[in-house]
Amino acid sequence: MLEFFSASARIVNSKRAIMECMEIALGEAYDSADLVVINASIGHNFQELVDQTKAMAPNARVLASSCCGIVGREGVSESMKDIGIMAVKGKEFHIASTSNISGETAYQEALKMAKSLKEQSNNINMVYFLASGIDIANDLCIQAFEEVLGEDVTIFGATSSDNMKGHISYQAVDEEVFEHGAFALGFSDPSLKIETQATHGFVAVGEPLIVTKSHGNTIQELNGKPAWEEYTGRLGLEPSADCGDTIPIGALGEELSPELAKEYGNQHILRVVTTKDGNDMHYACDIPEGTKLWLTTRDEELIFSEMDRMVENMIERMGDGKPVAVFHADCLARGRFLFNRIIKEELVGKMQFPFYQNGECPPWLGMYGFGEFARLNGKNEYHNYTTALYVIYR
Amino acid sequence: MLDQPDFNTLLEDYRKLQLRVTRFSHTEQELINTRDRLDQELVLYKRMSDFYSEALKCPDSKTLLALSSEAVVDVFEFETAFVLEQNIDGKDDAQLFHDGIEVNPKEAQNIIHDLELITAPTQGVGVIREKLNLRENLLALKHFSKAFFFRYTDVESGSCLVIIGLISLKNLPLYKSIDSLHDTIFKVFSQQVQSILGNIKKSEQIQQQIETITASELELKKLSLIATKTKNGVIITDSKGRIEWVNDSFSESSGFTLEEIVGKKPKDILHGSETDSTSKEILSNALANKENVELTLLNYHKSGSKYYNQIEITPVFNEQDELINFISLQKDITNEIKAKEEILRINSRFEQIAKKSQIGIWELEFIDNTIVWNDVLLEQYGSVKEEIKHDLVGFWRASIHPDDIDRVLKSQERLYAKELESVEMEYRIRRLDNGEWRTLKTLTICETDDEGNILRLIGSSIDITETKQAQEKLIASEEKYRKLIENMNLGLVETNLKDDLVFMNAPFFEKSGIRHPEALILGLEPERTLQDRIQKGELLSYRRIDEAVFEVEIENVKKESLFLLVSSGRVFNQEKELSGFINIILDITSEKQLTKSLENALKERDSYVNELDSLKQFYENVLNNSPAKIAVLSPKLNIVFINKLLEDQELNWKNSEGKAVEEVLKDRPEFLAKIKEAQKGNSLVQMEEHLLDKYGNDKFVLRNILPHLNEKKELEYLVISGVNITQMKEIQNSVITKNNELKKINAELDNFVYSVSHDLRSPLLAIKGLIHLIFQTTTVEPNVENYLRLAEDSVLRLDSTIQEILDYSRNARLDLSLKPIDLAQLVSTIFTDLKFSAPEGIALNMEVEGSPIIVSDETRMNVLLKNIIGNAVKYRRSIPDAYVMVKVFHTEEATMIEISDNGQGISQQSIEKVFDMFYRGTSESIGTGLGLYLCREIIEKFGGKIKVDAEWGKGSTFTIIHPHKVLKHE
Repeated sequence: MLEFFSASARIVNSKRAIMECMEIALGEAYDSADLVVINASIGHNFQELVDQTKAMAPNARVLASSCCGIVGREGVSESMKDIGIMAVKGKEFHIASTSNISGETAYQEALKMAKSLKEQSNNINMVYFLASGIDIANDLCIQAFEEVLGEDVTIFGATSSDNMKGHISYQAVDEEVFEHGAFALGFSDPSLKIETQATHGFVAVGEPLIVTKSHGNTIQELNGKPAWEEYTGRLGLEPSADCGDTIPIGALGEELSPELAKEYGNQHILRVVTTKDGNDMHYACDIPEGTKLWLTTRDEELIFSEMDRMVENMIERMGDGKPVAVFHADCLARGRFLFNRIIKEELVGKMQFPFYQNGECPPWLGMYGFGEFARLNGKNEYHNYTTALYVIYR
Repeated sequence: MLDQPDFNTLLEDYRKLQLRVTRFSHTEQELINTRDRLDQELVLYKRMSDFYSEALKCPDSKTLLALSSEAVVDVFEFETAFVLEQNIDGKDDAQLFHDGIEVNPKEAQNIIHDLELITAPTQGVGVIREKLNLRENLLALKHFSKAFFFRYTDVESGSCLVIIGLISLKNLPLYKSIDSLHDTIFKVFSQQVQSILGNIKKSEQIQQQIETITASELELKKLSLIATKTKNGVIITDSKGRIEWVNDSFSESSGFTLEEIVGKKPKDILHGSETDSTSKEILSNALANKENVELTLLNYHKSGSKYYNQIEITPVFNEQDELINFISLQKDITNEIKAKEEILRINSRFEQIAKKSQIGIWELEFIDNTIVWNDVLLEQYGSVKEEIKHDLVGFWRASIHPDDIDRVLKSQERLYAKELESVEMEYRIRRLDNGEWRTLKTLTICETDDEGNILRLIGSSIDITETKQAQEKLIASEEKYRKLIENMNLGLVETNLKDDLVFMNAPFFEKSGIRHPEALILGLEPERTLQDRIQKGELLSYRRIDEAVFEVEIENVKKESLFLLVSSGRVFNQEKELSGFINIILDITSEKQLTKSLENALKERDSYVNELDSLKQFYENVLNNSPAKIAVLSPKLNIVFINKLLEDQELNWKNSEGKAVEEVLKDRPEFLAKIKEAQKGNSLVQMEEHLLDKYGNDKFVLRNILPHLNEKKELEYLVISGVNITQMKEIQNSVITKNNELKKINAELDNFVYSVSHDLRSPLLAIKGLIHLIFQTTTVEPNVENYLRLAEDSVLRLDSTIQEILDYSRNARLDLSLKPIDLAQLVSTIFTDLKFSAPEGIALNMEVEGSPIIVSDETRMNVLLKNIIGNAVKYRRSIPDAYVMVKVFHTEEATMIEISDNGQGISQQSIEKVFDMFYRGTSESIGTGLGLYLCREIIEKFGGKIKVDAEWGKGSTFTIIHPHKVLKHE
């Protein structure tokens, strides 16, 4: 039976940072961990992080990914030197990974990982998937996992990020650090269940942009014009702007069917453009020609009310189940690039407090990343610009 | 209705509005950015404030420097930071910290070199915005691109502080730009660090002085405590030797208190009549010469009792090298002296004992090579001390018998090599006085220190000449009798009352290989002993022959049974008391074996007879219970055996055993002829016999007549078996009838399917034609045109379904019509037909390796290829380089036709089901679900195979394996 322990800190030296977290999470028995999942800001040295973790817990498998900030039991921190861990004791988990994934190879690589997990266990009931957030077709990853493991297995997780520069992201599996990798962590503890949901609180504005030419997850033309020029033009930016300029204001919305919109609390699901190549924009999913994309703007009131609604719904669905660990993915654009510190901490308080048990926050590992995986209307889905919560409970 | 200019204006306004709506997000974001920047600055000041609070609590400069190097990264979000503090002149004391950790001096060297290069001679804040990495001469920091630093040199204290934040070239895109705000805050931060460091260093200096004073005081306290509490006596005198202070231990050992002796000289109160005058003189001279002195003296207690002191006197000089004190340390060693005297006394007594027991003793000290020995040793060698004192070892070696000398010296060498701790030997020596050879038994023991070095050898020796001579006589006598007994062909074992073996003539037992000779010792109660030994497994059996004579069976080492005749007798000593037992043993195995083999031969004969009877009985049972009717005939065709079934069911065989078969079958000449045929030809003959049973019903019997030949190929007997096949015959007839009926029904069904499908097609084609006519002749409303197009599509889909059913029906119904066909031509025709199905264009390519001609059924091949190529075109993707490629090549067994495309592909879930009847990959699939099923049916009819390899979203490859030789199946 799996047990979860979490900790987070803001410490400059990477080795000391992981030592501190391991000791907070596990006390003197830090060498008893069987698995350590690390989220760390892009300023950390990932090789030092994983090496030090292995030195402290030689028998533990280690997974790590970069992000723009951390949310833990201890609260929110967004600097270049944040770190959060989720340490796990128990053997009912399985790991598959790839050192290189992109929009082109997303389906194949995800398929290999899914098959590897399936070979390791037939009892996997949920998969924590963490992939490089730069140029990846997330919908094809979901499709590949579902083809092998079935649609009932919940895919949750995030895409790793930097500090919104769209320059690089890191993933690590045991002692190896990747720059365009991915890992899938399958849980096979039959006593565990999971509830996932995502919310964003943005509203669509104006007329949609229509994709007139695309290939895979690359948008080449919008409204019959070069995509990047048209996109930045509509945002009031110069074409020389980069993704760091567009991400905070350029969330693109795809229309949802009425039944999906009802659960989602919004008529649009949001997508991000993480990187560009000349006038071609790399979209988060495969995008067929003819798709309508709306520009959106945030609605602070809606953000708060939807957060309350989502948490209430999740608790209702959990019934008598008690949370044993919460994984959490938040879009980096919802972090310090969108909210000031006070609003952000208030928002995090709203998502954490309802899950408290006996006055204590459950083990919590959250990150500010590029994208989020969470179920929508009972199906695995990929999101951007959302807060996505993954509550594991018994 | 708006006119055109108004519409254009409106459209332009609308576009502008669009831009304003979305650009509002941008403007709003700008405002948020400004707010967030302020928020970030607040965060930065908060982190600085946290740092100051921590810095003020730092107990020493090291902690502050470590904290500062961490804070530079944390507060300003640099990639990394160093803080260096060093002396201006001597750089040995440099302290370098990196992200909160002190860098070891070896690694620090190159970094300090680079920091000097980057920051000197700046005073205050400096910025290198880019291309730091292009600077020459950098050793450790050359991969960094940007630097923000602070350098402060304090000439007064002679120290220099460097604080530097760095960003590498690799990670430059990740970090924020350094602006003027950083400039100011960094300056404030660094000055604060420098100020706090100054304060801490001052307080460290004060602390250091306090610690030095405290340490001196502590040292003094410790020394006086040692002098007071030590168990040795301490006397401190002035330069003239007059007592100034003594400790408690001195008072205790001498009986004098400080008050009693202060101002006096030690010699006046401690020396007495027996104090050694030479030692007193040495002491006196040393004091006069102001030198150290160490010696042992006999002193006197206040009460007059004597005690020994080991004394060390040290003169003490001041800084001007003037004698100011003597310190005397006195250790009471009276007990040690007494112990030494006691050891000497014990040694003397031990010497006396050795003399009385005639044991020679000697001791060789390795340190000074001195040897001591006692008088007994000299007596054993017939010598006197004077004659051998110069070279005892040489004398000893010369005395040893030439036959023994090598053995003795080798043992001695092993002792020196520390292989042995002691050596016990017997050897002969010649006495010096009368030349007589004597035998000595000696023991030499080697004593070593803790590290294994030899300290001394101690030895003893006893003269055993007389004892040795007596032993030799006894052995010679024993040997004589032993040989006598061993030559007898009888076993002999003698034991004492405890069953210990006293004698055994071993050759007898070695020859016979008896494993447990001791088992033959029968003791006081022979029979009971024998029973015990059988139970233990030492003996196999025994039989009593007489009161004390037994026949015993025992196993030898080869696990053979031996039979022994054992006679047990008693042995009495001179006092006529029972002292042991003697057993005489005679081997009678060969006589016993002869008897046994005779008995075995008789038993074996009886066993064979029984086995034969039993075998005969077994085969008779088998034959009697067989479901076949069986008769066995002799080579002359006499009936040897008939089984019960034959006897019961065929009356003319009843009671026929022993009769000639000609007589029994005289009314069935055909059967008899077949038996003779088998007899003559020596091979199996079969016949089917038609009989009538007792109710007059038909009965068919299958007869097998099998001749059995011996090894010389001569006929030994004939076995006739008969099986009733009446029921089998009936079933066979029924199957033939049913099969004919089924063929007829199948043909009718095929005709029905063909007719129905054909009849359904005709009206469909008529509908299609009519719709086409409407489009050609009439202009229809757009919505009506849509309906008609939908109707046309439905007709085409239904027609396609019927076509596939017809194809399936034809494939199942019609025989193969094989002829040479040109695959290239066939594929080209299909390509031409399909071009109209892909208006936006798809590349249709073909490659043929070798001949395009194969022998096959043209109609079926056309259906097969059209289906697969058609699917590839139908499920293409809207990509610019969409293609279908048909490759034809030949292997040894088959022609391979490979149809590949880069279309939608097939998912992993569907790939195994695509050839199933009515299977469609998705609900959006256009086909009927019969096409690929039909393809598989066709290729299997050819005796070939079809395979598919596909990936969802990437494309598919179908491979048709068409055998070179297609077999027609009925």
